[in-house]
Amino acid sequence: MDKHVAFMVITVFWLLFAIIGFLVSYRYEERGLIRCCVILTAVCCYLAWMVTFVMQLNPLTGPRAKQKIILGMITYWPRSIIHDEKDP
Amino acid sequence: MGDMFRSEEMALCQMFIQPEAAYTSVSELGETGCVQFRDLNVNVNAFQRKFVTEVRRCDELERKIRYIETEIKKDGIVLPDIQDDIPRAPNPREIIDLEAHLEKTESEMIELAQNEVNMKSNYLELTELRKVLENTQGFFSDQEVLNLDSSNRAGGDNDAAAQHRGRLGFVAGVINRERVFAFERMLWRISRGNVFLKRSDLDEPLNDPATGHPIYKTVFVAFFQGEQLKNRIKKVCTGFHASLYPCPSSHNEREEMVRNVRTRLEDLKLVLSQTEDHRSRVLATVSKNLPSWSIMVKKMKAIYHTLNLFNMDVTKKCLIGECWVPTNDLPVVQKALSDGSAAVGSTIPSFLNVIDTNEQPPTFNRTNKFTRGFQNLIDAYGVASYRECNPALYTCITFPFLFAVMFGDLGHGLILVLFGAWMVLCERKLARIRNGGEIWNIFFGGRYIILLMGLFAMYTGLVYNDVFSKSMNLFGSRWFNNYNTTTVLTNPNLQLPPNSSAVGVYPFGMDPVWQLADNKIIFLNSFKMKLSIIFGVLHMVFGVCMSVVNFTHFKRYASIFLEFVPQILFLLLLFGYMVFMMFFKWFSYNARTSFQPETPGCAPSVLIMFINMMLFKNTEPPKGCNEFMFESQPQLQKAFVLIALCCIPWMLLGKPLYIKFTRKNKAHANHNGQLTGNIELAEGETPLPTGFSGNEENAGGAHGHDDEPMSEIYIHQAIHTIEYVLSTISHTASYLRLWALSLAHAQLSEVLWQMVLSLGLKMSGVGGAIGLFIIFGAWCLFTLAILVLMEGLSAFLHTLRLHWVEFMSKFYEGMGYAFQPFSFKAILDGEEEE
Repeated sequence: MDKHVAFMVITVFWLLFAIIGFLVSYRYEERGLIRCCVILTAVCCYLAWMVTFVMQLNPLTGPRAKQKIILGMITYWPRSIIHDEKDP
Repeated sequence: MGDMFRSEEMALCQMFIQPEAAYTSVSELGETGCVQFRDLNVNVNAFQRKFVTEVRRCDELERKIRYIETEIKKDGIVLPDIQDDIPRAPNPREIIDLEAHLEKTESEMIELAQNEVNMKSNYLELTELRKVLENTQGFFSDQEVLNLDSSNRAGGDNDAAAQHRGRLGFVAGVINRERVFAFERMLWRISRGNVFLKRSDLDEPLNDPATGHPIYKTVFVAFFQGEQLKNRIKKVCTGFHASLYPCPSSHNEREEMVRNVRTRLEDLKLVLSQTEDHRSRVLATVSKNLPSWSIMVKKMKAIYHTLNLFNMDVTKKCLIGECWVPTNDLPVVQKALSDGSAAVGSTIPSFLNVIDTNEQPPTFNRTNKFTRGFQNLIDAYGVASYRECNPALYTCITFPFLFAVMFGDLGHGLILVLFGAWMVLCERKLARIRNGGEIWNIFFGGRYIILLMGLFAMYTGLVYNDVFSKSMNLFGSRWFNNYNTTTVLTNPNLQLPPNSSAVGVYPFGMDPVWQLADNKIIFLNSFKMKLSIIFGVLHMVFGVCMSVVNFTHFKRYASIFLEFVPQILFLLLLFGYMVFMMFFKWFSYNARTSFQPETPGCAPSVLIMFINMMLFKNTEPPKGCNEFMFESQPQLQKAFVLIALCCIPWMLLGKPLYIKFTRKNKAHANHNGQLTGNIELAEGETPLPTGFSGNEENAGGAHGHDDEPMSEIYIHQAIHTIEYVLSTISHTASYLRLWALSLAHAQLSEVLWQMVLSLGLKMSGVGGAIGLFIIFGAWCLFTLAILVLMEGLSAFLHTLRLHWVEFMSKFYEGMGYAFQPFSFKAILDGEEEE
């Protein structure tokens, strides 16, 4: 569920960035240049984020870590837990 | 469109200027800086042009200014730097005043210099004389003792002999210290040992009056007998450039002479200091105005050089000039001509005619301080053909962005942002730095590029989640450990399974767990390679689409179907399809599915699948897996490859056949036009005068294919086709440098962390604190020198290549020539750089 929220939030952000930049450019003389820069920035930045996001959507392999890294994750990251049940 | 999308429209203008208003009109045009004059007197050599005399006058004025400037610098006076309030070119009355002023100042300086040299020579001579008189006191006292000894030894037995020995002669003078020994040996030889020389070194150096250099000298007295020997000694002294001075032998006379010399020295010193004061005052007065005069003379000279490009129309009594003007600036030029005429009260106005021409105009892209750096990057590759699409518009963002893909690191990007922002915010002050050096000028000229590169590098640093090779856990890692206690404690390495140790997606950027993982490089390589190909294919598609805009503008509509369509099909059906496969794989295969063929173990390699597609090969999939990602994929791939292969003869033959066809149509029409044959001949008999044979060549070039034989066209198109097909493949691979440099940058940063800074953090105690301080300094130095400067330069150059070759080769001709307006500002800037 939160992946959809993240996707929507970022997409709307860059859309608004492009649209607002497009509108703001009308009050400047070099509106063509500003408009082009704003839209290109939005497209490039969105693509960079989107590729990273989609690439991690369905990971095919997991991180391989040393024991001390695992213990560090258990200690500092709340999602990681230590338990005595059977391994999944 | 409008801004920067293509070069400005240019108009070839003919201007008719009244001779009396010519100087002021050209002066006004030089101030505006939007006119490029053509040379109408190509066949006239430089010395026969109309305004050669005036140019020589300006040269003479410049020589005088340089002489005075040299004198000013010799005295250490600082010339004021003119930044604002740059003076305009002088009018004729001011020219005469300026000439007189410079003449007077130069004469005064020369006279002062000459007088000073003379007085310094006199001063030196008097100083030497004083030294001689003072130092010879001891010499003569010794001599008197010697005489007494002789007298005593002789007794009364032989008075005549005593008288004879008492008549010793002598000469006194000063010689350079380094010549003393040679001088002494020479005297000994010529006199066969009969000369007695006494010398004394002077402690203080004397100044050479001509050069001002310090010289060390020695006072000497030579005692001898006989006139003949005296003459020989004097010749030797002359040969060794020794200065001889009169020196009375009696004590009282010497005292009197010393007093006189001292008085004269003091008088002369007073006069010298007054002369120097006068010189300083004159130079200080002139130095206030000299920069203005220098600028005025440079402008004046530029005006006369420009007037030499004009034609003198004898019948109409006016000067005719031809020039290229941006169409938008025509009102500015008209106003400048009006102002020029009004300045001299000319009753007949100068006017401007726009001429139609087939010549290719110069290319002019209007830039501001932000876009100038990017435009310079593009122009370094080639100046755009006239009215061709200008890639600099898109380069403003794509250039720093692609740089950031290679340089992505939040910390290093922040350093670039701070440096760029400093140069941008203080640019008014920093622009006044004249002698910053070539490297500083390059950095300052590209300050907006550096700022944008830094900002985008910070963004990609966030996406890569990389801050000096460390990650930030802003949103909480989506990976977690769920192994039990026994498993964790008994295994030195563990791999988290994606189907049970991951939940959701890290919202922005790379999950921080990967920075800690042992298989980070494998994972990030896969990610960054795909990212590079995606951006590369999009960049190239964008470039190919730009060619449509060019074809449309130049009304080469046939090229859209014959060149653009096959090109874009070839690119998209092969490499666009590869990008599609990447995304499909990301969406389709996952670790949580129960469908066996879509599990991670069955995920095929996109590259191998692409190669098999091109080679029409098959690979046996692992057991339980499907060879293809989706149904009908083999048929689809075959269709794509076949269509792409058909595009190659399409590109190869389409355009030449079209040209051939259109030529046949034209020939047919000409054949039917028998009735118009006479008219054509009539036109041929009276061709319009073009005036310049070079322009005819240009005009011919503009028409292009109409004159080329068909074989040339076929060869040209074959080369183009081969180049496009091969370069599509190699350019796609070329974009992988985005991954390669990004990997290198990240690994170098990690090496600095592992090998340098973390060592300091592991130390303990007081020594550890001191060691950490030193190590942190070393880490900073390496970070700036290697990762920011060297890696930054490397990423910059690779980005430049991606734009010049991979992007611009898709649509850019770059066969124009730059518009170089007659502009005082450009002339003065160029002079200052020298």
